[in-house]
Amino acid sequence: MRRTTAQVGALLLATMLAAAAAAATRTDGWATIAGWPDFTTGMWAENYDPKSMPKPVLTAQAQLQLQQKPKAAEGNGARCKPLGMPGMMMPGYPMAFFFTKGALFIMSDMDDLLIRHVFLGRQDHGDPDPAWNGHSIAHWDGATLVVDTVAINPEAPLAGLPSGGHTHIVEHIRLTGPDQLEWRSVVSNPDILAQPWAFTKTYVRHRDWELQEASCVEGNRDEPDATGNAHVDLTPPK
Amino acid sequence: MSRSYRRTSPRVTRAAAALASAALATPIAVYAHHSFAMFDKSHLVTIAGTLKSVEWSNPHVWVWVTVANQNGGSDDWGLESGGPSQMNRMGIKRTVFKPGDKITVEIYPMKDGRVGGQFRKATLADGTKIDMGESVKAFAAGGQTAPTTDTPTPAK
Repeated sequence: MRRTTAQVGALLLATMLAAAAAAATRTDGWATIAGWPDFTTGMWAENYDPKSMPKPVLTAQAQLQLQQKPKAAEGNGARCKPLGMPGMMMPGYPMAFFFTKGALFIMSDMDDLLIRHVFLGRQDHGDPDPAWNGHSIAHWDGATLVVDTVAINPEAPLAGLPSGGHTHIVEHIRLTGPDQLEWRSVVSNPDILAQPWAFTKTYVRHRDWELQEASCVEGNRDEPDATGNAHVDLTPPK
Repeated sequence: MSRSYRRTSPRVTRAAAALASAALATPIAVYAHHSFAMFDKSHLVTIAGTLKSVEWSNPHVWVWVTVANQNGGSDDWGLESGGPSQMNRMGIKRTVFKPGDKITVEIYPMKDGRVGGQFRKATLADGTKIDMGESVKAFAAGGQTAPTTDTPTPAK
């Protein structure tokens, strides 16, 4: 009887220790995240200031391509295609950040909530398939999140042209106040840009804003015409 | 197809267009998902009629206004506005538009002459005024501007 009690006790102890260890593993991960700068509360609206935005310096070939592009030619947006990177971070729509173990997700009201995945703690990109928002890896440099992005879909626009698949972006994202966020970005692309395009954007936090669904295809009347030029469907509703 | 809209005076038109352009600067290009090249932004046009319906859908809200034409009939004008999320964040809710109400709208008309355009400003039957330019400007500055209500303006 005494031996049986000891065995039961040991079993209970082992079970409790295993549960505690598992719980500790889970909470450890979240405790780490909770210690990071608070990017996640509320949503971020860009302080839109076009004058502060430097113009990209284009290659001769890119300049020629832009000159030859019809003025009325529509971009991807009118076709409900994603903006991709870096446009995903620049449309002026508010953004939300979500941290989880090993990843940061960035979403905006635009782009059909196409989620940008930023993998934390990864040392290299590997060999990812091209994606509209590319493949992003990140690490913390103090309180600044440093993000490196490659493998962006060749069709994703850059400076008004299809990027062609050779875009590389390095971003530094940090809080500059309780409700202020700074995003510095350097975009490189030898096909489009004669020199790296560096710019800084700032955002203000709206703590009570919620992400809103935005499915572009549900009511798009702006599909371009057969030539790719701007067009609008004015068929009245029934 | 004939139009019954009135064109604002050149002086007012230029001033209004300049104001609208200044208010919007390029934010509208940033916030829009397409070029808006189909609209004639060289002048504003005012139309008055009855609010037929509102398509509160993505990527852009469409306001439909039935306007009497010169042939004794009527045309349904399609007016493109901002995205639902933008409108909400500017304080312009879908419930502000009530089908059947009289409405006066300032628009950038279609370049191709069809009955439609880009929604700029509106005065609703209860006097509520909507100014997309001011709302976008306030939105871009991080705030929001809700529609204002003052003395009702008779629909023309």
